[in-house]
Amino acid sequence: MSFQFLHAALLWGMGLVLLPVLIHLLRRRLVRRYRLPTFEFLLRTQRRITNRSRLRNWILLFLRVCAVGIIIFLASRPLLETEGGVSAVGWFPVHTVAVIDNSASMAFETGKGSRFDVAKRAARRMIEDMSDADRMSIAATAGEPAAAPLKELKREDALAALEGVRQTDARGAPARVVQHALENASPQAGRKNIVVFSDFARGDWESFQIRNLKQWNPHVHLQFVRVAPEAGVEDLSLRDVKMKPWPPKAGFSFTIGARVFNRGEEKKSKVPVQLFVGEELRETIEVDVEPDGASPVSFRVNAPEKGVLNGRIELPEDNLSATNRFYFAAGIGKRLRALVIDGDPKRGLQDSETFFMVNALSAAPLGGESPVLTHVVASYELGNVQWDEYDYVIACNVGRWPERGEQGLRNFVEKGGGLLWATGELSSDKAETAGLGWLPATPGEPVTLRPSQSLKIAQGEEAHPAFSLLGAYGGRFFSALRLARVTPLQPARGGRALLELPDGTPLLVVGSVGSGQVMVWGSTCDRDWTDLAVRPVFVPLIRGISDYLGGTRKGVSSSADAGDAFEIRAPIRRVGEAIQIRGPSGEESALQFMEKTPGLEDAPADGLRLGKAGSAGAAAYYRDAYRAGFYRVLTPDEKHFVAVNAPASEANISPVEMSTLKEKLEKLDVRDLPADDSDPLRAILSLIDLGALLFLALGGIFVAEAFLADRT
Amino acid sequence: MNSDQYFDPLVISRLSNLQLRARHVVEGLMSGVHRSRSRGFSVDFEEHRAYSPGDELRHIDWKAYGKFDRYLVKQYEDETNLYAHLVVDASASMDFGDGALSKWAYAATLSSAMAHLLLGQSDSVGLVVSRETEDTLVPSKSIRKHLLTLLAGLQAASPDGGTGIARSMLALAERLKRRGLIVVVSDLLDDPEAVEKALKLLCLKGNDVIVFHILDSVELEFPFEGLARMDDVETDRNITVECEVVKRPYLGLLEEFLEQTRERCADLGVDYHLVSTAEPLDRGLIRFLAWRSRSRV
Repeated sequence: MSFQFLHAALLWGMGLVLLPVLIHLLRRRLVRRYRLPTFEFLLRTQRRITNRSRLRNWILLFLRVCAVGIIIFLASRPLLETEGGVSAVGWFPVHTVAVIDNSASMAFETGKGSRFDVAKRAARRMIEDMSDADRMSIAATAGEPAAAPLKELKREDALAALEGVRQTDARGAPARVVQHALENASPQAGRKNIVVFSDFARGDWESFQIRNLKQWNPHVHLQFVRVAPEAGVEDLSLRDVKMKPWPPKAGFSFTIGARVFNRGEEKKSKVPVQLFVGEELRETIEVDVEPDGASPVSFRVNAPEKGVLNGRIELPEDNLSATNRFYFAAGIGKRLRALVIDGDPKRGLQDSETFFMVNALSAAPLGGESPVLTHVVASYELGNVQWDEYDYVIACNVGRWPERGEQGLRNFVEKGGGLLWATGELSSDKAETAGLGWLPATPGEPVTLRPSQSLKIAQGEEAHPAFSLLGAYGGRFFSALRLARVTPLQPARGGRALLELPDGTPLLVVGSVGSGQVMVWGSTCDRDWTDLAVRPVFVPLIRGISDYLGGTRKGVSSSADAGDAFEIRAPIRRVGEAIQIRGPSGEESALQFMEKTPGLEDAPADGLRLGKAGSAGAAAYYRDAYRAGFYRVLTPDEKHFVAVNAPASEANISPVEMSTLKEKLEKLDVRDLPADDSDPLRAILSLIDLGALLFLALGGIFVAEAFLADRT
Repeated sequence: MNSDQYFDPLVISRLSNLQLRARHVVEGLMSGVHRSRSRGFSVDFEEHRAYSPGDELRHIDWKAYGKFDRYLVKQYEDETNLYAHLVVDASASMDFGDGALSKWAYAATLSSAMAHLLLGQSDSVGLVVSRETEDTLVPSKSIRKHLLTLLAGLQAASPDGGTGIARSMLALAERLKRRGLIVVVSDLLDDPEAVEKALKLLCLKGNDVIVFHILDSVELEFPFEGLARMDDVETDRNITVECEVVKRPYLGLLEEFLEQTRERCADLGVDYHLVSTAEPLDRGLIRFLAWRSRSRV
């Protein structure tokens, strides 16, 4: 049994108890002197009353000293600390919130189960010790919504709720949970306890400060119980896993590097580090790891040509398995689908408007495939085109547009499709192209340039993605071009020039229409008006424009930390589409794509991207990824993986030192709970606020003082 | 002057000369009462004195008038009605007073006034200034100019030392050859048994005894407050007391002492008068004259 003080600094004021003594002494010094002839009578009087008077004076002095002492004591808010569990011993029921740390580090094996198991056993005994009038709430540091209400449960319900708390591979949020418990401790309860069972691993607790809690209700007894500290921290873990290049390119190899860290005190020899791709063991590397040291390990993996890559690196099982595996998954880049519209298909193949364009898009490395699938149609076939099958459209010198074709193209672009619209003799007919007023540039009358002129990149546009494949000095390529005839462009509806004639006349204009991106080229795509198609700059320029209009062709990594919500993004046309998530233990959840409004949702850093998604796309959020492993994202025609790993911070399982912990928790009760089956209730304390008691004592003292003191 | 002011201790305290004080008091008193019934005259001429209103015309010495052109009255020796002794306490405890007059000054003035009255009626008056071990004696005489001797004896004394009032009364009792009047002016802060014994002896010898018990208002009321250190006037003793606490028991003890003294005096036939120094001086004199009147009846 001992005392805690909420404002211990005020105890320095205890020196004030000397005040009554000083006043007493000062009063004796200020005594007046009188002469009295009848002194003898006074002497006899004094003899008669002296003993009683002295006793009374001493009692008065004692009472006054006590009164000052109690006032100081009261101001420092003393709390009497008593052992004896959490059940009611007084007049009022007790509400206890058991906060169980179920973060990844609590999975550490102690020999008698994991620390999480030890914590649950202790909490279970605590619950069993409840009286019928008491109420218990169960909270976990990971895996519960931030604002989940605290349910005040009776014994049986509390035991059931405790069983429902599961070990996770996520990081804990102890500050948030303790804050929530403080704010929601039952106002009806006579005493309120919050008991936190945790290993106090640095990962979660290093930054915890009790003073940072927004509201610390001093009437709530906070107790921190450190679980199984004697079990140590011996553990092998994978750290600093890096993959390069990532996400991998289709058909290319990539490396996976990691460090194997030995937290134990003995050297670990020939530790097998295994690489799995899918469920197939691809490679095993053995490493030696010094105590408290790390050894690097590296694997090289060939990425598939298409589809999804998933795998893991794995260490042998040890005390903390959550840090022994690292899962990875990525979608290999898909080929873009481009629709090329030939506005003048009567010509021969080589002289076709689209000949050079199709060849530029189809260029591939030796033995490889182009990332773009092209499909060429004549302009008169546009009425039958299924626009959703393509990522972008290139219209070459299209004059007459079929009625449905022009509207279909506009709808396609507004939903996020890309369009490169190139001019020519046919497309210069104003009457034919009157319906294309939604483009970001208005073409003028064709002009013949004598002498022919070159191009330059508009000021400030050097870094535009369309020029990303030209290198750092892309502007030099355009200075060698020769343009004999052009259609000067007038940017409109937010369009801006990317390429210009030397006199500043825009020739390549880019702008947005709905969710899509549109480019307008003020010359032909063949050699009729310019030599661009046979210049070295043509292929990288067209491929850059292709990437820009069609979206990235790179693969996407899909990973997240356990405990974090991950985002699945998709083009906006998929809003409303249902998807299914299957977790590592087989649990299934159904989600639906919702329209993603920028700014309304705090987008997590990690997640999965299904196809091109603009700033306003579709998104679904999965918030139950609390175990490490692969989460399968299933759509009617797709299957993807999201790799979820224990947060790197959870590998830091070294406990915060007891002294540091007590400093962080400022005078609060911090106890160790051994892993054996010693009675955990002995570690649970109760605090009794002595305020009311002291008030009563103070009142009694005042009454006694008033009774004894002669104030006549 | 208002007649009350004659006896106001505050007024009297402004008169530094004891003779003036006594005369002041007596004149004030006599202006309000009838002339004395005492004749006080005999056949043996002693001296002349100035005529004063109230003297019978037949006592005027007309020869002396013819010689000095003043009205003079003859006085005769050995013609006295009473042998009186004034026993005045001059212990240190008498040198105390919170008001205008200390107990000693009050006692001396009262004694002087009584001597003035007695001598004015041709009584023989002696004086004993009581001290702890040795008294100052002034033998009794009845001539008027003896007043000066008595006053000189009083003025020469200053209160000091312990109380010896009982011893002084005993010594006087042994010394007296004739019965007479003994006037004791004291605070009686002596051994009560010894005082009683001395008074008893005086009474047994046929003396009439009047006791004027002089106490200061502070002694009677104990008006102190708070914590106070009380010093004994006659010794080095002192105590620290809480005045509010000791006041009641102190006054109880004092009252008990006064009651015992009063009862003892009554038992002995001693005329006892408790006099506060805050009281006007005439009250003591009136009591004295009342007794004098009774004794002549």
